Amino acid sequence: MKKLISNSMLLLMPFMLTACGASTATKESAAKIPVQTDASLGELRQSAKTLFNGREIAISASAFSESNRLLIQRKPVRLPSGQVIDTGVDEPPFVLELFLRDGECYLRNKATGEEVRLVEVGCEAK
Amino acid sequence: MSRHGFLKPVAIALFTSITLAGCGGGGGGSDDNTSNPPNGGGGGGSTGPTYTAGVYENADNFAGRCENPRNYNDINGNPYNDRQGSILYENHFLRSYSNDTYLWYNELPDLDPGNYNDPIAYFELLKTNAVTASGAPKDQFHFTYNTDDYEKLSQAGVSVSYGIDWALLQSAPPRKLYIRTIEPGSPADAPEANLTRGVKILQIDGVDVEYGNDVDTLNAGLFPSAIGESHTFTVQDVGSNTTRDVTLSAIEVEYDPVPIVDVFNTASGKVGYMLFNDHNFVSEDRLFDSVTQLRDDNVTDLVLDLRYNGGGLLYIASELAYMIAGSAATDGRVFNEVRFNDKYPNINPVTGQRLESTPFYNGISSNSDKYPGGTRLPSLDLDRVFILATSATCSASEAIINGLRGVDVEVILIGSTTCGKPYGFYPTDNCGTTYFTVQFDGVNDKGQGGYSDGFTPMNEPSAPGILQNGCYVIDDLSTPLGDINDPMVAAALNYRIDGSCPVVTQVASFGVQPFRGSVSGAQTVSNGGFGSTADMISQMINYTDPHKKAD
Repeated sequence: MKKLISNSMLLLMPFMLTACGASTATKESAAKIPVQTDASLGELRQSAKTLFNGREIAISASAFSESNRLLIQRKPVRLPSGQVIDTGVDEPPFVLELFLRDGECYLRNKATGEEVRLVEVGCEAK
Repeated sequence: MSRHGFLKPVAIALFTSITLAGCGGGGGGSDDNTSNPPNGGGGGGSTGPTYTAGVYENADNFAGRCENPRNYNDINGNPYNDRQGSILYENHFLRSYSNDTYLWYNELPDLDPGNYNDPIAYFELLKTNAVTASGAPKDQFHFTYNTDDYEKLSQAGVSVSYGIDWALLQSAPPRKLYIRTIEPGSPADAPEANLTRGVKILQIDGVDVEYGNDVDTLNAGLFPSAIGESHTFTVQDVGSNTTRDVTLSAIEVEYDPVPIVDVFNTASGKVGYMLFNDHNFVSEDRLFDSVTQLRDDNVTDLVLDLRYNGGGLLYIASELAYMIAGSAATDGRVFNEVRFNDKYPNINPVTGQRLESTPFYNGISSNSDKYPGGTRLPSLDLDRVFILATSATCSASEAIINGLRGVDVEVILIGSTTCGKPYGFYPTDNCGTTYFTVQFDGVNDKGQGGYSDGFTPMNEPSAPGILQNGCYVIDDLSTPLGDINDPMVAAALNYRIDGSCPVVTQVASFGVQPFRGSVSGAQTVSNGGFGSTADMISQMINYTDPHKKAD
């Protein structure tokens, strides 16, 4: 009986390990957008807006064309006179990350971890 | 949500006169504001905090106690820390916060918060009335933003615009508005627009620029807020006596922060030229590549054009200063050291962190897209640099001047007096308004700073600031930037030969006047944006210096 159980365990072991492997997080890979269309840019902007709780973010068509990371910063501070100044305090950028997971393209707010799946954007591995 | 005045730069022409009329004699305890008690509680007689002259409670006791608490979330989806309070609480917060962190707190009037029913108007009075040696207000950087507007973001280096950088040479009637630069590939650069640097703007959507009262229309045209927004400009081309109309539609324009890099081959060696317009995140890689190019071209001098660079990230300024001076001059030296008021000699009163000076960073940050964090920066190893400047040269750009002179790199200033901002602040949100109040200044390795009147070329007629070797030259909008015939470039090249300057025949006719944008009282501008103050401070505390850790 003991031998039967131990043999059974040996037989089951590979499957158990496979099951373990299947339950761990799927790998992500950095992505970029080689070709930007109006639809994909619109989705990108809307998704970024969602990830920043409804705030509009100016994003150009070249976003993610070279890098899987997009640095977001506040718009320039202007004195009432129109003079552009800085605060003297270096604020860290917000970072949007583009990545592939299970063949799907996602946009993520690095600070909050929130992510949005993209359907119009054509991602490819970076 | 509370809304504040939506004011843009052209509005200063009208708004300034109104503000000045209303706020004279703010010092010494007197005030011109209504004596009506604020909503939600009067001056000590009912619910709410009470005022005792000379006694300041911790600002945290009043923070977030709002007349109109916000019931929506901040940029990260977290609720604002607002609770029901009153204008009285808001005013008490401003009083305590200013007394605690304002750089010149001992020059502040002690005004009963209960006597003011508008926190912004109250805040406008919480500043020093002292003047600099030139007679200008010592504090020219005291203002507010509607926090909702302050929370507007953009991809680094991108903005909704036509691709035009405006030169508002005179903000009060008769106003003078010109095109300062045009970004290649932008709507303004289109052949059908046929616009160039130096074009004069006469009307915007039918409103006269010179004397028009409809500043909202003028502002809306100058600073479109939505993609596709169109406006019509009546323009006068350079050298023309006729006018024409041009309609432009805004798009998301990507600005190159280093648009021109060139080398002048002179009889006495190669001189590099670099136009640098914005210390933003995008500029780091651009500067790295540009200086690498100039180094590989074996330049023996550099003309650094900062005439339109209003500042930005200080660490970028530090990196550029290193790239100019090199290791021998900068290793172990201080680029910039911040100083708060004497209550906080060692600790940052806003973040609670120990004060640390900014070195001359010699490695690229972890924000770089092209290079691994820590990659050694290229350097030109120069013992002098020619910096082209105007009154638009400000903040981090002035820190470059100050930082280099602190390590005995000669800065030869060509142009006109810089804006004069050795100061900084932590924009602070309370109840939907973000307050900017001067909290620290910066000094170099020698402890030098205090350039509140700016840096001034040696022979500038008015000479209000710290004098630097160099020449007073007007920025001529009729010549292309970086051209060898550009008066400022030509002056730098000539000075390099024999130390001489062009004869000063005029003080700003055509071309950029020393446009010192002095601010009288806080005013509200709608532009720019970021997250809640608490979140920002949290990020600052938890922020890993990009030079200490690579991604």
